[in-house]
Amino acid sequence: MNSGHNGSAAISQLERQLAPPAAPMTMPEQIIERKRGVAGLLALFALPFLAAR
Amino acid sequence: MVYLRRSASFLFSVTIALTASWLAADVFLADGFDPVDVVRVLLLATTSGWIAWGASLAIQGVAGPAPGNPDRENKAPLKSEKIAILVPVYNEDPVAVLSRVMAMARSIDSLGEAARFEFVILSDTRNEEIATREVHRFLQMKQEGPGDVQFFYRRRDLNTGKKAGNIADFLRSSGGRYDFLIILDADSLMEGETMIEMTRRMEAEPKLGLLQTLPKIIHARSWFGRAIQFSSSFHSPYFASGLAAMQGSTGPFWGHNAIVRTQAFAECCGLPALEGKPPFGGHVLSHDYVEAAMLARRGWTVRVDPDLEGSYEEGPDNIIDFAKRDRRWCQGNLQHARLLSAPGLKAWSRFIFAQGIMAYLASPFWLLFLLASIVAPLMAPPPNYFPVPHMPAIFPTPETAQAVTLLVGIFGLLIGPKLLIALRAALSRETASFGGTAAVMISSAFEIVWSSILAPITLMFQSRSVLQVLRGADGGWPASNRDADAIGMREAWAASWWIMCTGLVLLFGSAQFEPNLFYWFLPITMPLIGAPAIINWSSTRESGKLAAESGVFLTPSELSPSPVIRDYEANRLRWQAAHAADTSDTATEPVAGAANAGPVAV
Repeated sequence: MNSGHNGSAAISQLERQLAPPAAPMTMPEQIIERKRGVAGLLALFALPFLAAR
Repeated sequence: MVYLRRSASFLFSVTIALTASWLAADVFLADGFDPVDVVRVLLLATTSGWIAWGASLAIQGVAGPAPGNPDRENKAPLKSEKIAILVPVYNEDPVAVLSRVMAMARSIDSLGEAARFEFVILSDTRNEEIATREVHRFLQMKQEGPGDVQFFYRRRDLNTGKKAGNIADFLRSSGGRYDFLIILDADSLMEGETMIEMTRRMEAEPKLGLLQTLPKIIHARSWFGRAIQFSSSFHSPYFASGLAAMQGSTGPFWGHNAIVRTQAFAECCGLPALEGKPPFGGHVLSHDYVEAAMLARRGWTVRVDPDLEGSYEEGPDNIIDFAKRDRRWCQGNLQHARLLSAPGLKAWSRFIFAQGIMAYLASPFWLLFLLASIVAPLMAPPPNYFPVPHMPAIFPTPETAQAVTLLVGIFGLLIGPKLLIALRAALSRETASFGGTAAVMISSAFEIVWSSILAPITLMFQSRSVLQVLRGADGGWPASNRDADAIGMREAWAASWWIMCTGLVLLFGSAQFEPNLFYWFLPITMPLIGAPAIINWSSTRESGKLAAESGVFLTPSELSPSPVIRDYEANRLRWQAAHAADTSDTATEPVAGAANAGPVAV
């Protein structure tokens, strides 16, 4: 359907025009892993009852 | 109440596990004590407890209010200025994806809310030819679509972080424009009314960070696909209701067909890559579970509302594609083992991670149990006919009654919830939209038999996936192939010869070492031996046609498609025809599942 450098460049320029308006916001990376040991798997089965609402 | 429900399910599971252990100990130790028997009892306790946990979800769902009766009384006008509808794509068919977007846009426009909603196609497509088609179809959609709806298209140079990275990238560059984000998959389809209602619910509850719908599968074409489609429409709402009853404010996120509060998502859900290489390191694969947990960690409510209708997706039409998807999910869930002790998570979130891991470990546990059952007689001590000196001989007695009770109990836990759901639906006349009570009963019976045949094959694929991940093999993240053609016998054989061989080994092993087990093993070994043929047949259009013509696995979306489904089918047909006229590619393919579909080019 489209080939060659000129075609790709045209598509890239078009893609820039189609992009959503800029409205930046921060999305900080979170800490999701504890560096020290992993909690015992068996203890997990009691966890639902510690923080139920 | 949540505490009570969790306690009830937990107690039920533990009781079942203990009862199964007690019965199993009676049966397995009848020929004397050996260490393999202890392993068998432990494996059976774990797996039966796991099945009981799943059954308890359905029981809680059946005991609750009927799913699918949305409260439409609150028709408050929307206040939000802008809501983005995000459609991440990755090498998918642009005609299919944008036909759905067009239908959703029209659906919103017909309700007079077009100015608030903006569709954003977030392309991670790597294939240049497909990317070019995406842009062309996008322009066509923009031209034909409702004028008041805004459409945007953005393609990344690098697909860092895959889908989660794609959405995070959008948030960082353009997220500030939107109050809420409706996150879809490439195969998602939603009624405008549903999206508006989701927004309304988010506006009504300022602490609600994420609201998940229960998508129903549509457009299945094969026997396999139609069985899943039926189950997702008929059984899943009850399982989801049971889950919803237990989740409290720590509900699930399934990655799509959900709405999030933009600010909350941006604050909480920036995912770092994990140290090390895949499968356990690198980017978080099953990011949705983690994002739900991270929102809950900061006090946001995460909820699934099974009453929200008009939410659809497409699913795999054959066992091979299903297994490929399952391989990805397996790796993603096992990767969560590293996050079990993440700081600050709610206890229920950790439990959900553990539950996701167990969902895959259960299969190798069952397989080990089967193998241990064959090996056990070889390890058994020689019989002692005179346990008490100078007394008459005592012969070991096979504990047949306990064995049958155990088997019936486990089978009952597997099919009992489905029977309860069918009964409940029949009594409350919910069966009408599925073709009537008789059709539902027949479909339920076929579904139970079919899932029993499928279970050993799935067990083998999942066991292999777990082993691969534990050995450090990364399964990658290939695009879903939802429009795949039927699986030929050659391909089916290549994918499942090892399953057939395993079935033969189990059959031979049981006959050779434990003839008592031979007949008990037949329901497991026969599907394994027949796996190539089962995979082949269940993937064909003919098998799906046979089911449809026989009135098996009928669903409401098929019998009475909602407007957005009809519009999507019409768009797709028209664009496929246009594409055929534009190119010399004359391959023909009907629109999946469309009742009025004729042959058109892809």
